[in-house]
Amino acid sequence: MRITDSMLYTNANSSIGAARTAVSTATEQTSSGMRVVQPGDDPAATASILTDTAAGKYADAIVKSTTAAQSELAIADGALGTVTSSLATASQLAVQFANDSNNATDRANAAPNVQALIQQIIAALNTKSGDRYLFGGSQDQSSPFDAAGNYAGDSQVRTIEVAPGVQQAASVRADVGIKGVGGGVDVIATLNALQTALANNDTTTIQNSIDALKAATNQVSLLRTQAGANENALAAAESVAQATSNSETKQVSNLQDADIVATATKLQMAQTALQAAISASTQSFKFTLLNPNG
Amino acid sequence: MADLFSVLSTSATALNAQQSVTSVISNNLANVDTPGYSRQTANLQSSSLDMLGGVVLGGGVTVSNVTQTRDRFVEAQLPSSQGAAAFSQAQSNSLTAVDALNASNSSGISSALAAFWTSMQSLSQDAGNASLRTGAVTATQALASSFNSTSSSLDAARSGLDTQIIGSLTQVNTLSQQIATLNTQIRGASAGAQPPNDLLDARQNAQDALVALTGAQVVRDAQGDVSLSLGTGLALVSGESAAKLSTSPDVSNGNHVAVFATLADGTGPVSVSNAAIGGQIGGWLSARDGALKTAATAIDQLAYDVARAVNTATTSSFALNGSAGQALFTIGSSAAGAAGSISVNNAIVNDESLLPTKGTSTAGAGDATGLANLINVQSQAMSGGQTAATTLATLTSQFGSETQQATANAAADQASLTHLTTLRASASGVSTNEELVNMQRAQSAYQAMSRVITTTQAMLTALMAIAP
Repeated sequence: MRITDSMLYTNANSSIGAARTAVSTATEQTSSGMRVVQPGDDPAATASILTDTAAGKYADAIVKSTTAAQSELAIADGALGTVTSSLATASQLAVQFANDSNNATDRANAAPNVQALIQQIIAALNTKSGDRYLFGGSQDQSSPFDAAGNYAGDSQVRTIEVAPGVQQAASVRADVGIKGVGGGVDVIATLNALQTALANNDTTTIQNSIDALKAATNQVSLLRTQAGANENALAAAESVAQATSNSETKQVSNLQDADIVATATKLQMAQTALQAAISASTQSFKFTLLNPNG
Repeated sequence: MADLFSVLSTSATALNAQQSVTSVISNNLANVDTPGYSRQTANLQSSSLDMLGGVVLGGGVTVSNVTQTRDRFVEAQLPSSQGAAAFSQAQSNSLTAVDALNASNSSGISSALAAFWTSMQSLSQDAGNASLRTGAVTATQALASSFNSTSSSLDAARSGLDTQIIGSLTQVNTLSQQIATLNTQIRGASAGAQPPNDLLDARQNAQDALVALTGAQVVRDAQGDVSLSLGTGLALVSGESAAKLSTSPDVSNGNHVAVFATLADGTGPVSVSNAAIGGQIGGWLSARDGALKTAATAIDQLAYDVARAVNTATTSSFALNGSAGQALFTIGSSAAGAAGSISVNNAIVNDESLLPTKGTSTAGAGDATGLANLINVQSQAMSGGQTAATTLATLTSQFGSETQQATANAAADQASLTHLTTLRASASGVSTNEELVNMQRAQSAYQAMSRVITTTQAMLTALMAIAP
């Protein structure tokens, strides 16, 4: 083939340009640490990166909401523990003052203790997490129980999504567990009855309240069990979501991030190729009759 | 028999011829870097013969003509290669310049969509929480804004190509007219003995540029005229006359420009389809109305689908104050332009308590059953049968595939063009070394003839000396 000057320069431009592009690409990948920046870099990987990232963020959101819900259920469980403890104390008082060894004065003196337990229970049931009350159902912006023990909440159990379309209960029903809606025992009314009976020296009612308090305790225990079960379910969901999040993050990293060792090697190769292209071009320019001695 | 004066005369023709050869070499060297220049050769021819006394004597040498060296086979293949390379390069450059759909774009739709669902998920955990409601409304605004900016970015890319197309058509018209004029000039100049080399080079340059811009097909007729026509046969240059291309906004295509042609005979303007245009302009048109338009339309449809589905959920829910839920997004009645116009209901922006979260009007603030319907939208199939996230991934991947294809085509077409250009350069290009050797040869011949003249002069002097 006849070699002309323009061919020499065009070839030099072309080969050096291609080598420079390769160096630029390798440098960009090495410095950014990313293999896929534009969709055209790897269309299939881009689609997976987007769906995996979305799935990872969805899992992160579940982790966040289930963690918060578990925290709330733990607070609710603590409050219910206070209720259980108070009921145990009330039961002891009922057993103690049902006994004939106590007189009317003794019982009247014990009545304020029960009243204090009632207030303790109401305070526990008005527990808040952040700015909202945990036992009011959806009515969580104001105290679910007033001083007299009346319930202002509703019957709604809050749920949160733990998987696409799957809702998990994240609260317990105080209307059922405390107020006895649906055939149970009204815990506060039972304590009020005990307090009144103690004040009035009504031993029959005091005697009856022992069983009622036992039923109330069982009822609150059941509520705690439900809270615990919900907490466990949320913990399991959190664990799954966290695993999903980790897996998606890893997958995105595999698809998007550059292999540093590989890119560094590629950069070195590209630099060597550029050096070779420059050197070869320089040599080719030397062979001219204008410079017969080279 | 030749006398000494005829020897001097013959020598003079040789000196003239070698001067001409040197002149051509000089011109070749001067144009060693001139784009489109084809090396020229001074063709020497021995002069008419003298018959003296039955002996045949040479009459010296003359330059019969100066011709260009061209490889017509390679040159016939070049136009389609130039058009294809310019087309794919323009398409590739146009698509790779768009970064609105990059997976790593933190303000892209994908990130905004994920943040939107996350904010709603967080809100569902504490629906009455004012700061979470503010966060949810802010995430909703960010999503709308992301659709707006992506749509705007894609449209700006398309409008940018409009500007380039309009600017290039002026160049196309100038080149077409230039080739038509050169056809006329070359036809006139070719009537003489000497080929109009410089005019041919000028026409080749104009032709190369026009083909690169439009992908026009080149036809050379018997008269030596060059005609160029677009894909549909529409003649850009026909002999001595040229068509004129122009643009006009196309209402059916978002007011992006469409190409029209006023034909060489003055009729028109007639519409020129995108498919008829190749080269750089064709590449721009292809990118503008191909991958970019497809992506923009798909983004519009996604914005419309998401907004409609979310609005269906919110309008069947209730605000904190128990009032009927309002549409969260403000959107038009069709998908056309939806991504560019989508916004968040101002009433909700101004009062985030109006963000519908409750399932019933009487439920408390903590009720998030209405919000659960909204959150479920992320699992719902959009109009294309896929979820919003998958739809976005698919359309992004399709855009990426077209970009990748265009980039691969650009590399392949450029390689093919480089090969042909190299072959043309090999045939028609100037080699400094070759010209220097030729110059040395001419110089040697010139010196030899000088010696002949010196010797002849000595002979004449000697002759004169013996004269009485």
